[in-house]
Order: sequence, then C-alpha cells, then structure tokens
Amino acid sequence: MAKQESYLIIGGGGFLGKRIVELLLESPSPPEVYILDLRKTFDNPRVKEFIEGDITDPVAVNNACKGRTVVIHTAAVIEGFPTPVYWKVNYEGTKTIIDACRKQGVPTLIYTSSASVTYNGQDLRNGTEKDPYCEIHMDTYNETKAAAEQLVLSSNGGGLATISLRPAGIFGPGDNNASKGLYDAAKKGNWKFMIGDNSTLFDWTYVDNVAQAHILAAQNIHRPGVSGEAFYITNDTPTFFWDVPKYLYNELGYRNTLHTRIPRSLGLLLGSVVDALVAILKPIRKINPTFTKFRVKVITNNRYLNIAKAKDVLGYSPMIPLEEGLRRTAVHWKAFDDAAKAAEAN
Amino acid sequence: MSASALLASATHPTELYALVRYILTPTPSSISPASKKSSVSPSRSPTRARCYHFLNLTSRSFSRVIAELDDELRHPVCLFYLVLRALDTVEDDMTLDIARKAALLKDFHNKIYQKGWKFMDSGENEKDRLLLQEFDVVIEEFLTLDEKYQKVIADITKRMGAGMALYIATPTPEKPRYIEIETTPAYNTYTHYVAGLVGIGLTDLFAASRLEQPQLTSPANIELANEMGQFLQKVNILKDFLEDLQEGRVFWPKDVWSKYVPEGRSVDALAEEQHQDVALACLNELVVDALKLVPSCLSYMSLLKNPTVFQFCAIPQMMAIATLDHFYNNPSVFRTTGTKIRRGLAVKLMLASTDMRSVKKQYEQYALSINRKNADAVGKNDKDKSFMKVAVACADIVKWVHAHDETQLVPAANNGWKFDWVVAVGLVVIACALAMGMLPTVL
Repeated sequence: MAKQESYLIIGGGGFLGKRIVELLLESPSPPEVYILDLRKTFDNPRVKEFIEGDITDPVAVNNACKGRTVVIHTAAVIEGFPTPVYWKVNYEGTKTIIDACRKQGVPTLIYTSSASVTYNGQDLRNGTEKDPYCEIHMDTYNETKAAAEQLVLSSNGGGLATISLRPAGIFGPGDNNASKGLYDAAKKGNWKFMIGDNSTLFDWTYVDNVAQAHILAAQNIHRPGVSGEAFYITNDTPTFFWDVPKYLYNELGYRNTLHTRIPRSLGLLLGSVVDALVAILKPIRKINPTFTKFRVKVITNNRYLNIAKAKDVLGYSPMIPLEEGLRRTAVHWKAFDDAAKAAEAN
Repeated sequence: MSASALLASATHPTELYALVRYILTPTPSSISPASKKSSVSPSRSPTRARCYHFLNLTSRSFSRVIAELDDELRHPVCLFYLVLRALDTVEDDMTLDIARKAALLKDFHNKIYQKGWKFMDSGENEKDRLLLQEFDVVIEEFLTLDEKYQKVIADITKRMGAGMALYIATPTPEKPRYIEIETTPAYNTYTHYVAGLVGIGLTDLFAASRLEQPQLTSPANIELANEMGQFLQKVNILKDFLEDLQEGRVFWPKDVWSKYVPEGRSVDALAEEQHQDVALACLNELVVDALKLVPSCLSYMSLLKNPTVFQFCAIPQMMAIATLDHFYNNPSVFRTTGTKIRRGLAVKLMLASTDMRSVKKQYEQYALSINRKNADAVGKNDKDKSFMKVAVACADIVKWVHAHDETQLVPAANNGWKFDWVVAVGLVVIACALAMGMLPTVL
C-alpha cells in the first residue's frame, strides 16, 4: 500500500466507537486514527486528533473528513429524546456525513446500523439480510436508523463505497444499553422476575466483535460485490433469552434469580396496558416505560439472525465467544457495584 | 411388562397410555428365525434360530429394535450385533491374560471366518459367555450372509478390535484400573472405537442393502454416523460411572475429573457424598461434551429415507437424550447403579420414534428441559462452571430444530396492533391502579 490509511471514527468517544479506535491502534500496522465526537471522553496519545464537534454541523464534519481514507460512522442518539432530535441527529447527521465524504473525496464509509431495522417484535429465526425493513418500526430510533441506512446504501457508487453493519444486542463492559439495563433492573429488585418460559432464542454481540466487523468491512469494501451491502453482525451464539441475565445476575451475587415467572399472555396484556397509558398520558406527560408490549414480544419471541453473509463476504467470525464476553462484562459491573457500595459506605 | 412399570408411570398419563398401547400391539414382525422373505439364509435353520435366541438373551431392548427392521437388513444387523457383543465380552473379561486378550481382540475379524471356532475360557462372571462358547453358530450364520454384508462386519470388527486392544491394561499399584482414559481426545477416540464404529458399520450396511442411498456413506455423513455412536456411548459412560468404577474401569477422561477431585485424590472421590458438588460439576462438564454431539445426530437421522431404518436409529437416540436429561446434574449417578429411565417413558419414546417431525419435537422438549434444570441450578454449586456452556449447547439443539422445521411459515412482520389497542383501552381502569408503582419494571 502506497499511502497509510487514515480513519475518522465518528462517535469514537462512545462505547462502540472507542473499541473501534482501540482495536485499530492495536493492529500490527495501525492507521492514522481521528475521532469526531460531541465531547472528548478519553485521552489517548496515539489518537491523531480528538475533534469535538456535532455531526449536524456540516463545517465541522467536512473539516474532520478532509484527508481521511475511511470514515466509520457510529454516532446516534438512542433513547430519551423527542422525536425531532432522532431525525436531526440520526438521519440528517448521516446525510451530512455522506455529503462531506463526497465533497472531501473520502472513498470509504462504514455505517453502524442496527439489527432492529428489520425487527419489530415478530418471531424471527435465522433472519437474513433479504428480510424487508419493518413497515412499522418499534420506535423512532429504529425508524431513523432504517432511513439513514437506506440513505447510506443508496449513496454507494461514484467514488464512494459504503457498507451498513447491523449488530444485534451489543453488550460489553460499561455499555449503556443491554448490560446496563440488566444491572439497573437488578438494582431495582427486578432480578426476581422473568416473562415467558425462556424457550426462545436471542442474539447478543460482544462489543469487540462488532468493532472487529467494522474494521473488516473497511478493509474488504473495495473487493467486488462488497460495497452497497448491509450485514448482520452477531456473536453467532443465540441463547435462550433469560440465560444471559441469569448469568450476569449470578456473577453479581444474586441467587435464586428469576424465580417468579410472568406468563407471556399476561406480560403482553400488561404491556398493552402500559402502551395505552403512555398514549393517553402523552399530551400531559412524557413517560419512558421499560415494560412495554414490544419488549414483552422481543423477550418471548425468537430473535436471531443468520450471519453467513458477513462470514462469507467480510471474513467475519466472532473473536470473543459469548461466555468470555459475558465474563468480562460481569467483571466490569461487579467492580462498578463494589465501587458504588464503597462510595455509599463512606 | 411388569406391574411396577405401570406403577412407576402412574403419575405420567402419556406414559401409561404408551405402555398400554405397547402391550396391546403385537410386534409388527416379531423376532423369529422364520422370516417370510428372508434374502439370505434358508428359513428355520437351527443355527439361525440359535442366533435369535442369543440376540434375545444378550439384549432385550435391542432385539425389539432389530425386530422393526426390514427383512433385508434384519439378519445382517443381528449378526453384526452378535459379533460385536462377543468382541465386547472379550474386552470386558478381566480374568483373561492381557496379552492373550489383546491378540484375540486384534484377530477376532479372522475368527468369524473360521467355521467351528468358539471360545470356552471366558470368566465365570461374563454374562454373555455362552455366546462365545457357542460362537460356531454365529460363524455359521455369518458365512451365509451376502458377501457385501460380511465385508462390512469384518472390517468394523477388525478396526474395533484393534482399537480396544489399545485401551486394555493390567492393573498395577500405580494404575489400579483395567481401563483409564487420560485425555479428552483419548475419550473421543475410545468412544469412536467402541461405538462410533458401530454407527459407521450400520451406515455401510444400510447403504449396502440399498434401503438407503449410497450417499449415506459419504465422508461427511460417516462422521455424523460416528457421532451418533459416540453420543450413545458417552451417555452410557456418564450414567454407568459408579458401576464401571466398582468394576475397575474409568471411562471419564482424567483431564476432566482431575480438575474436580480434591488434591491428592483419585477419581473414586467423586463417588463420596462429601464431594457431591465437585462430582456434579464434573458430570455437567461431560454432559456438555455429549450435548454438543446432538445436532450431528439429528442431522444424521434427517438423512434417512427408509422408515424401518429410521426407527431403528431413532429409538436408541431418543432413549439417550431422555437419559441425559434424567442424569444431568443428578447426584444419583454417584449413589446408585442400574438406574434407568422409566419403562413407561421408554415405551412412549419408542412410539414417538417413527418420524423426524416427532423426533425433533422430543429433542426440542429435552433441550428445553435440560436448559430449565440448568437455569434452576445456577448459583447453587460454586464448583460448577458449565452454566453458559450447557445453555449454549441446548440453544444449539433448538436452533437445529428451527433450521429444519419445514412446517414453519415465515411469519409476516406482525403489525396486529390495533386489536390489542382496543383491549388495552378497556383495561385502562386496572392500568391506573397498577401503574401506581405496582408494575414490575422488567428491563
């Protein structure tokens, strides 16, 4: 290779983005790594520059993209925002990035999408990338992710090669979603309850594997037939839904967990009630319930994917097995919990 | 059929039903020497009758399974069984001099061509010694088989005998056992020799009979056949731990059990009540090893086209998965010998072994059952580190069933939201009460 690759990781200060940065820098011949994120979240002398900036600001994005050979776009707002913010950041922001890549002549754009762009609670076994987008998305996050993914993929060509990756159930030490949700639930005393009979399979993906997939996508994108495609990324180890919480709770020291089983039918009913309440109260007060009908459906239906395409085309294979990923995650939360308890004691 | 079997299944109505059905249904083609359209030997020969007498004598459950086979295959399979049973009796015999035993094991594939050969020196306690004492009868019948069947049987006998000879030992003060398996790879090789080869040989017989396609003997499928046999053997090895230990044989691999026994102790520590936690942890690690073979077993069975061959293969497999479910994390493995699954359950499983769809359903149920027990056991045994591995192995079985579920319709994205909306509105009153902090907020 004549010229050293130069990567820009947008959202590189976040949970996934940071692991992409670290894996890139740990590689045998590391490329230049730049980060664009709203706030500087860590210091790493090997990072060329940590640029603070907003992806909805074309000037900032254009400056950051200038001279890069690869842009990896992992930034998004996930939950707790009003609808217009999702569209502004997740959709408009992505559009801004695509435009900047074109303008600055960046040849490669990797976009972090989500497996939920095709999922809204249905029973899904061995789903493939041929499955259509949802007609009705479960929430605005997914709707905007799907819209942005379509934008990214349709922008492929004319000097810009794009790929969209769809990880399912990302978790890892300190994630803000999956394992944090379980940790918080346990703290609230919800380690006692489970919905359904734990007979359905669910895909999880350890963060390092997702990061690795991004790097592989960037490395393989210019081979024929790779760009313009979407790929599911999982740990390729679907497990019965409640076994993962069970493992984490046990590692955190909870015993006899999930002993109270709420039947699926009752769970769906309660979820519907909550949904109705949220809808009714919407004009008065915004509620973000955790117990929704959608969540009950996700938990009590199969949701796992076939990742043959990522394996065959990108050469992807999960480096960190599920159990090892869970072990590392549990170690993190155990330490977090011990620290929290120590702080409380003082 | 004993009354005790009925009694044991008294609280399991489906088993009771199965037992009654089994008692009332005559065996479709009962094991008798005089089979109508036998392809090989003349009917009613006394040696043939004697062979089926031995079959009934040495294995009641297997004779019933063989009875289900197509006429073309029944006799070759019967003789395959008797030859291997005789070989096994030699292997098991602790009274034989080791050098003599090894030589006989390795030469057994030649003996089956020697008219009149028999073996009179089996130990008093060998329950099947009669078979060797009258082995000339088996040879007589073997030589009437079509050459294609003889070749398969002789080939497998040769390989198995040579394999067995590698594992037999004379007990010494340092190594006090007749058989001790050092490593997991050796455990896999051993189970290949004594059982995987049976699966391979049967597959060759099925194909030779033309009741199954010749592709069944492709290298990939032969490996599946091997794993079929290994699965059955490993389940037996797990279940019979105590009995084998008492007879001076340890098939559990040392590299596994040595992680669990207390410092300076040998494998017999697992049989002691005060070491139950480590014993169960060790058992469960080996259960995972066995469970990993199940998808291959399912794949093999799904290749079979002939209904009688299918049933012949599926019945022992179903018994094995049920046995594994019974003994997973079960202290009785280390306390009592000879425990089996209930007769009623066995019969129910036999009746459910008729087609792949029913077999898949049973396997899914057993995978869920083992997974349930696994989840219930979490945190109750600090020594047991197999939770996630059992969970993944069970999930892999269900995943296999899903992938081969031709009845499943691809569900359209479920947007049936409106009807539930109506229900939900009707429940708003209750909702308000519940919403006052009474809702469990899972996740």
